[in-house]
Amino acid sequence: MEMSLARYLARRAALTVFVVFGVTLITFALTHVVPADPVVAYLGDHAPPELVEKVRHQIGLDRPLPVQYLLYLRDLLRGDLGISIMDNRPVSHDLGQYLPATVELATSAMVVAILIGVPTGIVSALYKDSWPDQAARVFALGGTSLPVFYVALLLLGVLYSRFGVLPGPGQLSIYTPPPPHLTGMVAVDALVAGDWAALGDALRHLVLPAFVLGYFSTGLVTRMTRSSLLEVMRQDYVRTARAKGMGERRVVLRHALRNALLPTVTVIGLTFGDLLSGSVLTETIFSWPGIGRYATNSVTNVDVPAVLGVTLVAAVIYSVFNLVTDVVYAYLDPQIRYT
Amino acid sequence: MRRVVAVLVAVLLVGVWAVGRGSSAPVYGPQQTIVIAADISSVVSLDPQVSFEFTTPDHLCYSNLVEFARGDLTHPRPSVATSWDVSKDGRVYTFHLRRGIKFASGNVLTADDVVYSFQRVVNIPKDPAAWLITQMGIDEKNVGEVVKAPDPQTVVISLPKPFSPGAFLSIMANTVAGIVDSKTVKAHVQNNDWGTNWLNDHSAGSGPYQLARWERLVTIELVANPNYNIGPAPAIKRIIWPNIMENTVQRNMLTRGDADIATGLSASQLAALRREPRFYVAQIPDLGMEYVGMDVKNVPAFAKPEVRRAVKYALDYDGIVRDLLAGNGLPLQGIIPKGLFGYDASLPFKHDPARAKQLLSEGGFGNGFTVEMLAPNGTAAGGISAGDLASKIKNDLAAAGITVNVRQLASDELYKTYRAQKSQMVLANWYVDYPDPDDFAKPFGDYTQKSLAWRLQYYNDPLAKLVQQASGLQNTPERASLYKKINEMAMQDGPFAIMYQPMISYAVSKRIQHLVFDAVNGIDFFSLTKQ
Repeated sequence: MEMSLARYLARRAALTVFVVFGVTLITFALTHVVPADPVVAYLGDHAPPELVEKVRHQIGLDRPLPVQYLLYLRDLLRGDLGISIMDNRPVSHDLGQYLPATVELATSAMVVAILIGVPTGIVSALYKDSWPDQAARVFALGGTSLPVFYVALLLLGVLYSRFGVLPGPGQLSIYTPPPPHLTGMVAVDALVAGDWAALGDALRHLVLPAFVLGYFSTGLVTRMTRSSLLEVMRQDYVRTARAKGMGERRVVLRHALRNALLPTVTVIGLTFGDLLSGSVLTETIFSWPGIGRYATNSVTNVDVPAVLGVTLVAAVIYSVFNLVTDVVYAYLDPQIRYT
Repeated sequence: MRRVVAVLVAVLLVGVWAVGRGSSAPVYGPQQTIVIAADISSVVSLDPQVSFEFTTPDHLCYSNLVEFARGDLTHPRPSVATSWDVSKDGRVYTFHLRRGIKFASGNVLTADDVVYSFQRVVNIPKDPAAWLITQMGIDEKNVGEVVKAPDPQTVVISLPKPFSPGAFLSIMANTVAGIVDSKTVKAHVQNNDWGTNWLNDHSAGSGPYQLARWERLVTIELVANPNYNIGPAPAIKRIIWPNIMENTVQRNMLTRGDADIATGLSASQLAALRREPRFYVAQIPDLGMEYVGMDVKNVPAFAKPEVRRAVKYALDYDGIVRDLLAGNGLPLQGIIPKGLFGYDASLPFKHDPARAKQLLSEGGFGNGFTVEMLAPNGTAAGGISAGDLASKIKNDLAAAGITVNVRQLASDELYKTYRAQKSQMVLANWYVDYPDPDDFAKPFGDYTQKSLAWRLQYYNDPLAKLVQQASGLQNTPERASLYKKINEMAMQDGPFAIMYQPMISYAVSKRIQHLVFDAVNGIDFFSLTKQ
């Protein structure tokens, strides 16, 4: 078991390298198909043509495309993601700044999705077709079908602007001094620094965006939990457990749920990958300085090294979460073996 | 494993606790703080010699040889320089510096700092603002000869070629000529970067404020400079621009009291706020305009001045300003916006489809023609949808017999086509770089600048000559009469149908009083007070 797991992980890691290589190639090609000029995007439309050409040369964008790509790969192998055209900083530095905020937000959103989604799914399955089930299904449907920006603006308008029960955009209030930078996740940094005022403020600021972002996944988790639990409840071994006189609670929680959660774990794993790489709208509306906003900014400015850096990180995140999901899956279902 | 993690966490906790306790900065409360909700995503740099898009923080952190009083962008006045002499040929400027000005570091400002600041502009690679200086003929090779400090109180700038004196002084008041503390900056140079990376997170100026924090895409924060000694210190001690991209959220922050000023509200949001007693809307004309450009080579019809005039008569200017902009714009048809020397208030073109049709037949296109117009995806000047404006133009021109196919695309894509002289018709805008009429007359009138007129292949030599002639004059009646001619020529013959001048509109809490601002320097924090 241990040996096969190690071999399996090694093979998957090797595959990831290929995926990453492919992703950089495709992204690089795409960023050059876009009929926009990164140099003009950076300098602005007022820049005279001579300045544009001078800066194009300084950045190295006047070299042939294959040369540019090979140079990029060479730097990448050294762990150098290049310099962002827009802010003149190493892309790795930028990613280090923006990724933690997204990890913090996505993790909170995932916690929201699991804490609300799994119990709602269970209740929904146990009370199939009665009113708790109907209510839960409407709630879940809202999550998957209401646009994120609509839910975000609605909740901000009501809970922040109208009643002031929750704080507005950003990670901290303007008059709360930020905790010393350690991980970049403000709540974690505040906790580590023992700054309880900042921690409380950071957590209050997390509530709305985490709920908005988590609500979408809540819908998926609820529906998945419900349908798979219903399926499992029809299985022979559940009937056997009941026939042995076991209490219903024990039947559901000990026997049915563990198997029913398998598909849910897949959904959670993949959704987490989604949340990490695609929370653009939530981040924009809540002024959350995460990777999603960095990505949007980079794409609109045709900032090639930055776009490549973001896609690279997203590809790695996806691969890792796929892998983790598979491993957890096998842990939950002993029938699955690594091959 | 668990034990290892626990120990690690404990070590981190103790370590960071010890570090965290040490930090303490002067804390200013809401009374002394102004919060301005704005979309600052486009800020590329806060180095004064590099910043170009959003320069208000640099205006507040750095001083210049000369400056503009807020609200009057026609007369530069002394600042770091108490006076200056200009040679007869208008090419040698001698600035006499005020003694004892202190930088935030405590260092004394001397002529060497001015020289160093000029050297930075022409030497920093990839500098979006550099062309403001290099267009005067100053470059990294000759800067040592052009800008000299004969003594600590005197700066002599000998321009290598004739350059508009009005434009020269207004560029000296631009942040690109903001004076940096050369000793401090030199101490932070890494890899020949002229200290530009360090200046993104710090400031080294002699202005009333200094940069406390710039977290990209998050916030810019300034605090008072304790060593400021050019004038009385402002009452506001802290200025914060949180980056708020959504205007609905900007409005939420304003109504909640978390922001004092919101800068990006739509016309309807402004109208709603006007009805609320706790807020007011402050407006001034922005220095810019929205226009339709016609390529006179790529579209044979536009080669005829009659057809270009027909387009100008076909547009429903009042409808655009009244219905689309809802008060967020002023009518403008000349190439110099209101607020600058040389502005022409006349509006020769009125919405007149019959006249437009007649001009089309005079030009030989009585049966109309078809043209493709490029329009950006986002907003047009004044914050309205560029798509809505393009549809309005399409309808107006259709009524005169011109079929316009609108193609909406990302603005970077639009500019790539436009700059390569490959467009037929564009919907675009132009904003001020420095407050001199030259900044508008050159792009719109002088094709040799390879700017707007050149992009539309409009090579009008007499007009270009006039622009160059007006450029070389001080703001005299003679210069005014030249701009009158230039405006007339551009309006009647030029390839630009200028439609309106947008307004800058701020939604403001009534706690804020004495709010004065202009399109170049931003808000005047010296006069502003907060209750």
